[in-house]
Amino acid sequence: MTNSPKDNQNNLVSFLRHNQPLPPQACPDLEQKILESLEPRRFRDRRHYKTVTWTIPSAIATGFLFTTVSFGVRTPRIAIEPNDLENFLVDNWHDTLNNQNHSAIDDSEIDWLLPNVYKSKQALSVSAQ
Amino acid sequence: MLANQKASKAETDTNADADTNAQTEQELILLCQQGDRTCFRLLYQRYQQRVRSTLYQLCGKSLLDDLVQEVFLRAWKGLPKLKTAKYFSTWLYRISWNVATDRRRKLAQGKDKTFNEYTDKDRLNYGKDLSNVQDTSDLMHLHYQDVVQRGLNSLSFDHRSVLVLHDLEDLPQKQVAEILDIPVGTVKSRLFHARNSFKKILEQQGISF
Repeated sequence: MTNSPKDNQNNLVSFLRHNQPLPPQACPDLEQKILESLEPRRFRDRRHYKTVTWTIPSAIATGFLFTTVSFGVRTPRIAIEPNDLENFLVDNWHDTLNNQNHSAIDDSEIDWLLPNVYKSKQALSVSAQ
Repeated sequence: MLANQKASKAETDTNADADTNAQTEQELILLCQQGDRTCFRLLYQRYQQRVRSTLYQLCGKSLLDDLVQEVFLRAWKGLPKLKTAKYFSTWLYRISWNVATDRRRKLAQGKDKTFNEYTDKDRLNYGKDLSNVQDTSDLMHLHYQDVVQRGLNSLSFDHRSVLVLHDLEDLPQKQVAEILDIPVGTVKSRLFHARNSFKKILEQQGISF
């Protein structure tokens, strides 16, 4: 009567378990050595994470507040009184005229596009003639 | 009837004990995650034999204490990242396997020349053991142990890992698959080939089943 393959496997496994080589005894101070080598836990990471979690929203809120306040201060107020409105319109009109005068005084486009070198070359050619 | 009641009560007690042990282990792991070294000592005492045995079967005797230390230091370092405490055992076996793989890689690169010296020492110790043994059954047992050790050494590392974890450490195939990060089908296939190879080695030594 022959053993089935399953029996053979079971026999092999039980043979292996029964005769498995046993590891040598550990060094007596190994446990202590391992415990002394353990690095201290760093909980700073969690605290840091918490700090970051609180810092970012408060920074955004502060920035928003600052922008709002400064924008409110700098923006010209809308004239509500008729006199104010009239003065505003007159001032604006004068500014427009002044701008036009100023632009009339400006050099022509060709003038400021021409390089200075060209002028000097012309001068040279005149002297050559 | 009374016997049945006693048996069921005993079974309930055993289950309750198992639950308590499991619970305390989870508590231990949680405390270790918070940095409790005393709890880590308890975990060490609970698992060191299994880790030691696995490493010994995978890497041999050389620098075994150092390897065990490496496993537990890595475990301590990685514990805060372990999400599920009930997988601690699988995770620790995984670390052991990683440490063993690293060790074998170093040996393959020839960085560690102490391995051959230690293997020679092992053989010398085996000779000393034989000279001390008087009883024939003990002698046979030692001989078989040596045969098994040499058989394990002659297997490929993949086959050896599966055989050690499944047949010697008595872990289920699913857990072996998780430890080695391979499908269960691969575990089955490797186990089949490893056992066949081992049988051939044993047959060469005159041992058959």
